[in-house]
Amino acid sequence: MKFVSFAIACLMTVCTVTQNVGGQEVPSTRKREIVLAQEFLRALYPGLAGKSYTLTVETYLSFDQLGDKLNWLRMDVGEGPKDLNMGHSGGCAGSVTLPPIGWPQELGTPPPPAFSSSPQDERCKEGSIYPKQFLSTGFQFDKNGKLISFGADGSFIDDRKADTEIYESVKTHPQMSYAQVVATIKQHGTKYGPEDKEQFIKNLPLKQLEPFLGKLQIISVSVNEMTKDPDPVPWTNRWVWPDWTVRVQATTEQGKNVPYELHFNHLGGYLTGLVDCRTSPWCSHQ
Amino acid sequence: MTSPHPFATSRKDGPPAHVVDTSVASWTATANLYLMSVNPDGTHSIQTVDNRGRTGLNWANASGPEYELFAQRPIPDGQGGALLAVEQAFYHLSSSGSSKLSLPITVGSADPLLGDDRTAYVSGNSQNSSIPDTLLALDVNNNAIKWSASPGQNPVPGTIMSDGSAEFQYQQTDNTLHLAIANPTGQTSPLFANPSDGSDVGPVINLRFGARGASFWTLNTWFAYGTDGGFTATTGQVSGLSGSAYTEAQGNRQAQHGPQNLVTATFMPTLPGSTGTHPWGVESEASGHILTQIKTVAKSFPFYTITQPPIATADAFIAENGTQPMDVLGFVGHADLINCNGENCPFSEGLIFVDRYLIRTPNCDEQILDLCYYYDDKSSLPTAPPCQLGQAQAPNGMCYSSLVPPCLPNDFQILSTCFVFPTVDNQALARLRNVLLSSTKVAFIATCQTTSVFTDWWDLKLNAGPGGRALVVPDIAAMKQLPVNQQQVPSQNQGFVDLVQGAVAYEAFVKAFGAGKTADQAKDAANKAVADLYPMLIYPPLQPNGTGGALPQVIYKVVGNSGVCVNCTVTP
Repeated sequence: MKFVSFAIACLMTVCTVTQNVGGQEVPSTRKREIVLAQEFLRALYPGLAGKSYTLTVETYLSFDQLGDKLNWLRMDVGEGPKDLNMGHSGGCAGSVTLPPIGWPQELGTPPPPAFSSSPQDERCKEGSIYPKQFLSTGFQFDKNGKLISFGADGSFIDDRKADTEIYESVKTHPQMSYAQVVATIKQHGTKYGPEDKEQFIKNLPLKQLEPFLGKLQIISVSVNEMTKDPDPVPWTNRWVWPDWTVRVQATTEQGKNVPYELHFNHLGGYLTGLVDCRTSPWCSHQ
Repeated sequence: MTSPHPFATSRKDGPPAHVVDTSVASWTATANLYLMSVNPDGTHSIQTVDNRGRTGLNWANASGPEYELFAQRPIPDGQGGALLAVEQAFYHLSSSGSSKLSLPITVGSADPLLGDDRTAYVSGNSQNSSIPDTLLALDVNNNAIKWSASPGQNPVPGTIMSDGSAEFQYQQTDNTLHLAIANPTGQTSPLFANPSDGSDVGPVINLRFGARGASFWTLNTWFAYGTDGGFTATTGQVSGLSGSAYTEAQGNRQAQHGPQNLVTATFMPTLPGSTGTHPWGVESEASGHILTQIKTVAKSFPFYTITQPPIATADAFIAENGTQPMDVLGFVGHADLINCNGENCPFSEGLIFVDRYLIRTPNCDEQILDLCYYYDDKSSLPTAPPCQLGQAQAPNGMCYSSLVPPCLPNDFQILSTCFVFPTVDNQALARLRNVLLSSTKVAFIATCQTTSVFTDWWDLKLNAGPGGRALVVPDIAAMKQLPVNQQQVPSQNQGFVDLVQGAVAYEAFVKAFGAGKTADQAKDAANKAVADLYPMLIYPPLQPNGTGGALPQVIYKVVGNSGVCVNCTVTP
């Protein structure tokens, strides 16, 4: 069974984050969290800005309690509202290519008609059409409105095309050395390979995160690494994507130290996760 | 024994002195056989294995009935207990008590060995024989002797194989050492035999080189001492090493003769959580989280996910599950559920992958109601019985013409019924399997409603040892009985499995299994991990329409061979 959070939640879509509801001011705590989340995304994924994209916001609240705190948000960034049905696609038909009319006799028998089936990709997918989304994120806040968990995925972070090419290349060349595997990863656009720790640390978006978390100090930086040694086990059977994990300590304005764990994708180095290690059981090195 | 009479004498200043004539005094002596287990933290416990007494007259003849413990050591039974062979008895000790099997031999100094079909092997002297001459196979489960063999002098069991055969060494009267193997029924043959006539091709080792047997490595290769005393690697036609705790002399303690790391494959065609429940709602993080744990014990760990290659397709699962020799195969994802109104409803009859369903082939012809599903009751209107010509009665009691062949263009005929199967996003057709052949030692499944329709689907005997393989699945019945689930979980959520719990259980299972635990013990570790996690999980409130609410705490069980163990190296 699918895990339950929003499958069973009462969804509420907020079209614009500053709009009043029913003539009443949105309770400031909720508005603050939505604005904070939007600012967070704009700071961490600046490449999405300036393209007239739409931010879709989902959350759920108790209908009966007006002052209910907002502790969960989902935000999607795309070409339009995520659930806007723009029509229905009937898919693609296959095509037949006939030999050119007036086939020169001296070339012999004309080639037979060529049949090609419809492309098996997104363009020919049957069903309802929705605006393309580039980033899907989730935020969790504690009772004081502090961000305690964040997750992100989507084609802006990793569209899997490069991943698929890398994986297929390594799969078809099992004799590759570790250095060649790393080179293949880099050739396909991976910004930070396993050997690029220094550069990765240098470009960490700590300044962008500090307005939300407090002053940050790096505790440790690690990357998912495969066994480097020659091994009878094929690369694809011991394959791990070189995603990064960074442990930081934030010092809040009140002088409190808060440990966080940050996760970054291997391809563009974008943030894919954040957890407050005080409250989460999922920190890897507690 | 003392007595004032009849030989008492008086002393001047005191009571009569007691003089003992021990030549007519009786005596009693007792002996206890204890097993002491020492835990890694230094604590210990002592368990009484057996006791006996002896009485007689004349203290000069008194002697204790001590147990003759020559060099016998207890070995783990693979289920938390121990096996011990002493003199003419074989003891099986467990937390629930002990059993004793009288043997027709006096056991020798070699340790017992144990196969994963729970057959133990001991050797010793038969009655009236001054030298060890007999090899015994003992059924630990039924406390009985399976077979006895007398291949020669000093037979010593060496290695137990996964097909239930036992390699051993023995001596011939010319003081040469030979290597042999006993099949699961006790028939013996040379370990390395001439394929044309079955004769022993050696090595024949003169005892001046020492009584050194063969040592099983991997890939059917044995390391043995050659006829000249040199060290050889020899290929034999045998199955792999048995998976139990004590398959080799000295217990293969460093696991150097078996795979040190697990061979695994994991399928995660569904995200365990949503984006808002970090880290399980982000694919790379969910897979990374699980992989980080699996990597600590596995040498091979392909991880099939939703969008990041390799992709969790049904065909990839069939290939990994049915053809690849493997230690642990994991699945974390949705089940295909049948909603019905019976006692076992709803139930799972398949798994959902990224591209298509994998479904247990339905059967509506043999009146097995649980297997009659996905019949086409949508393409024709139901009518009340009696059914007319060209109609058939569905399990819901109504008559449908669409059940009866010839089937509609998009339907499938199986025996005499028309079926229509679900697809993922109207894409690929479902895969149907009567039986899910499995080549993995353990299949760990995190999915919902795994009742008998699901567990009976798996054939765990493909190329397996006599004990078979293990399927580890949520124990739906036990989950319903758990007090916390009865108190906190809405009835409509009973039997459903939170995949975050399933993923955490899978991590704990693989780590424990790789660390040398049996499937049963690793299952316990998985259940503990879930029990520790469960209080921290937050579920959405129950909605008036019945959605939401807490999901149950998951409890896992082992179906099949609970003693399967790959890296057992220490006392479980």
